[in-house]
Amino acid sequence: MVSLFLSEVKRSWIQFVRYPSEAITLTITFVAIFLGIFYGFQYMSGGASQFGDRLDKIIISYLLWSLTLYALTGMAWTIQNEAQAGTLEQVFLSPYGPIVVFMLRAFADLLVQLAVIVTAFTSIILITQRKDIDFTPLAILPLITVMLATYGLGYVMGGLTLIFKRIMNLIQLMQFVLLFLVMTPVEDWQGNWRIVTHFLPMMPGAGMIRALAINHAPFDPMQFAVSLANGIAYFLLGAYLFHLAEKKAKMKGLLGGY
Amino acid sequence: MPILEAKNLYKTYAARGKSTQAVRDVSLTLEVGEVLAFLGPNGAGKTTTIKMIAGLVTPDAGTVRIDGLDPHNDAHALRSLGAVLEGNRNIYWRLTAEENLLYFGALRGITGAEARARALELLGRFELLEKRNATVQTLSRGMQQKLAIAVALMHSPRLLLLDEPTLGLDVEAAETVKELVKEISQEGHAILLTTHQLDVAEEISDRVAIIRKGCIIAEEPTQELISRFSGTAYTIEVGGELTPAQLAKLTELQALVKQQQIEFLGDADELWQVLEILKPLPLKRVVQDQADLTEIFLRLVREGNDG
Repeated sequence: MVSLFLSEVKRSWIQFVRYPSEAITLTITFVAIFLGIFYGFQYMSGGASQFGDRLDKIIISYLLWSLTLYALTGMAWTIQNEAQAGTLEQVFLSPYGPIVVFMLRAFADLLVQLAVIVTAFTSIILITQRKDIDFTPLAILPLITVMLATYGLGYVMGGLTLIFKRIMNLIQLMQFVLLFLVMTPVEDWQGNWRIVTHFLPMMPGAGMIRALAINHAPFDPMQFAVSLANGIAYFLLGAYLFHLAEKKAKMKGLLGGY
Repeated sequence: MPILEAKNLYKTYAARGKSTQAVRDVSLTLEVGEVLAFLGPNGAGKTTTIKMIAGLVTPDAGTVRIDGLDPHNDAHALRSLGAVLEGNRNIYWRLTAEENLLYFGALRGITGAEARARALELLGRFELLEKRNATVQTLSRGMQQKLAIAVALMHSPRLLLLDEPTLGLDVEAAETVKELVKEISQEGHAILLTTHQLDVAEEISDRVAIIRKGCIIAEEPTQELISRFSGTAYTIEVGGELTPAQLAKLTELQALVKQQQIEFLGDADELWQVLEILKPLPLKRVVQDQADLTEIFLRLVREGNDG
């Protein structure tokens, strides 16, 4: 499986860099969209000095949103592209099974995506002069829980693509759902609403990341336990639903067609 | 134990309230080193059957065993299976020939070192070494097809499914693929092959199965099928003049004599009688009129349609 993961990383990287114009355009677009949001927000709020931490939250939330968006829709795009290209059935002939293959592929794509995000993040920090963002290594832990839940939803999107082939409208809609899930400042909420957010995908982990990186809050093991349970539950649920979708696609003979 | 045992497969597709029975009671077996040509008109159920064998389509009823394992429930069965599926590219166009081989080697579960060695071996064997660093989209159609077959062989599967491997290839490329299929089977791989090029099937298959409207209507060794459908007419050419006595005896057996050529209609026993009469004239040739697979295929399929 390690061999397959390394091969997936290599394949993903080769496909990314083989056409450099695509890679460069992707990175520039990523930074440009952010700068549009950032300066637009700053203009409306009357300047960075009055907006303080909220701008930092926008930076962190935007990065988190882009990372999760890629993870959420990546599997669906992969399945649609493979079905179009005529390689999807070969993936299903792997003894590892599609759940493992698409998971390893998603991890491999994430590494490539991280390369883009690190480049973009550095550019954003330099351009916006927000040097006080402290991306503490501890924030990696809730980030993992967010990614687990995201991949769970990614499996659901992938399973729907297996059956319906084209779900681009749903993918576009999910971008806005994702905005709500990862950008809502749940870390500042109290009471029953806060408890409700524990059951929504990604929300507890996303809030914890912002609390650690921007509010400089101490690491809360209880909150992390909630985030981890949330991530694992959505991941397993997503994988199970993908398995059901695979069974249905095989029953209806839908794997090869597009 | 046969490498492939597919028993009593059934598949019905339902769409928009209408159901179509794609495959009905299809059974196929395949031994190691054997090539089975699976023939049928378009829409007869070939691809559905192949995909049920590969575990890509779930049968409504029936069982599939590859090397004794069920590909629908046991992923280990897929280690014994390679496939090149019709209408598919089967390989990644942005990757080079060698990158494809290495990637699919890993996808099929072999180690990096094994994959590198096997990729080099297959690139050499399929005459693709010079193109190892060329991306697939720059290769000719024939090279792409050779690469797709090489990719399917990366993990040395015991069973290879080839769905229309010569489709869309020029004569030379089709000839190369045909030779490769022969070589691969001689190395001990079992091959299930579908093709519309019946001359290809006749030349390289050990057995033929013909499917029509989802049912197998003929399945037997290729040469036996051809013999069964071949006429019982023989043409005999001799190297000297026939005596009047010989001519008389041949006429008694209803043989038609044209100078040094005798045309005779009868079974094998009667043929020996003719040969006895011709003794001691030298025989230049004795030929049984042969049907070819194309005629047999068309006859069987049309008979079925008329019925």
